[in-house]
Amino acid sequence: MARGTEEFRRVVEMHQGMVFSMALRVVGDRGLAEEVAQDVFLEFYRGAEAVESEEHVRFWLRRVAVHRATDALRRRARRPESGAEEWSEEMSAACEQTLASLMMGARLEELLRTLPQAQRVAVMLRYQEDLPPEEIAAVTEQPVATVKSHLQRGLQLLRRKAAVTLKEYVR
Amino acid sequence: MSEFEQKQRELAEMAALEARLRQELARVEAPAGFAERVMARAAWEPVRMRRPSWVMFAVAAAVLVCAVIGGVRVQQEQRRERANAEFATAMQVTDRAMDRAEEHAREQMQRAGLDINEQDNGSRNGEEQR
Repeated sequence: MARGTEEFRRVVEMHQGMVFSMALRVVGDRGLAEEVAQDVFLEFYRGAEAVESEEHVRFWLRRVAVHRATDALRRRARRPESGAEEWSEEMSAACEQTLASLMMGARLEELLRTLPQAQRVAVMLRYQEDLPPEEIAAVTEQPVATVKSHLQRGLQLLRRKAAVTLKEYVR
Repeated sequence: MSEFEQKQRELAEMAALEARLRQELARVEAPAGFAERVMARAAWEPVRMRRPSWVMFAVAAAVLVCAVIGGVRVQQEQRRERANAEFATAMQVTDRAMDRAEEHAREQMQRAGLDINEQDNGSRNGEEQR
């Protein structure tokens, strides 16, 4: 192995939870999330000489994890998102009948996966990584206003979905 | 329920939702052996596609600039040496031509019965009288 292997191992061990969790929450599949997370670290390994500081490592890993996970999601196209924005009262009613019983034990994490990809990424970075909108904008390379909009719409959508399927959260 | 109460309720719901999100979206642990699998893949990377760093570009640029400057200096030095040699040759030719002209003048004057030394003295005296 090349020089810097021990340093690389340290980086993997320190950040594996973060990268894997981010990938998992975007792609929603443990196997694919591991594949994405491994690819992210290997990409880091190939370009490790460009890294400047620990903060830069974390920022780099977050940015690449988001990009690789969304790429993987597009390739797989597991969950069509077209209907996610059009959450109507009729759908709510239908879900209430069909999903409520199935999802009584479901968690918000599962509802998160039904959000449109951009909203899901913003919510994940806000509540998993505890990043302010400005940092989310830097990671996702989007304007801050767009990020704030994704967050607001994502939360509203989650609240409406949760109100239907997980009534315990709205009491 | 009044509009104000409705708004209050919505805000409370949103706050509760955010609290639950923070709680439920905590990081999860990577699968067991994840780091080992990454290290194994890194070890089997066929070729490390290292990007050339800016240092390499800077060194290459410096070498190129030095080579260009060195080449120009060598050319200038060669031109200078050539010019010196040509000047020396020209001076030798001129000296020889002057010697020959002087010799020719002496011969002419001797043939005319003139003493070069007298001529020289006469001209010197004339200059002194003036």
